[in-house]
Amino acid sequence: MPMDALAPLASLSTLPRLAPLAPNESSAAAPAAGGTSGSGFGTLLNNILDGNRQANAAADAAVQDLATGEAQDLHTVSLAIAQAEVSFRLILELRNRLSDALQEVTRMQV
Amino acid sequence: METRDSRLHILQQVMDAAALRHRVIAQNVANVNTPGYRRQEVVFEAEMARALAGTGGPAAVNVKPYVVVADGPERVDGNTVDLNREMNDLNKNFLLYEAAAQIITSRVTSLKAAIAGH
Repeated sequence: MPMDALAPLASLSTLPRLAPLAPNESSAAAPAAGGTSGSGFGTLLNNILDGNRQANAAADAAVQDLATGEAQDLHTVSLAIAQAEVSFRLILELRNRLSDALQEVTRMQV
Repeated sequence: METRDSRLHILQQVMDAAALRHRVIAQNVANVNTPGYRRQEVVFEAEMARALAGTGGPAAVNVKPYVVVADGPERVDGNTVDLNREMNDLNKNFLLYEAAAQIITSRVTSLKAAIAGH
């Protein structure tokens, strides 16, 4: 039984080529530009930090309500506190992972 | 170095008030059969609300709870203690104390984690 010849993989030819390695000085300007622009890692961090700030403000307000007797139910207060703590834990863990990653990079053999 | 926290400061005052209220309730209950005894209670929450509204920063707030002689229906022997009411107040006060203690624990744990970094 005759076999068809294998067709060449069409998709392989359409793959884009890898970008050539950029010289080092162009990357020095990139972090400053990425930090201030509207998208990217800096914005992500800012959003998380802002979320923590809001959670902390809500927790403070809840504690004040508790102190002034305005808080009708305790679960609202403890939920606000727990939310603030969890959001802080997230930031702390992110920071630790980031510093671990940085150390990993500094140990890398070039 | 400043390690005081205004949020802990408020919670400390809440716990001070709750501890004092616990003693006052105990005294009321102990005197439930004393002729002519007037029940006492602790004033704190209203003072705290006034202090927080007056001076903007919660760090500046320093409210001391104080004991007043409360009004109430009088029995024939002149005693104004209502045991059911005291028990209700006692439970509420206990919950408040526990909640404040838990919040302080949570806050201090967070602070410790922030200092240690892990």
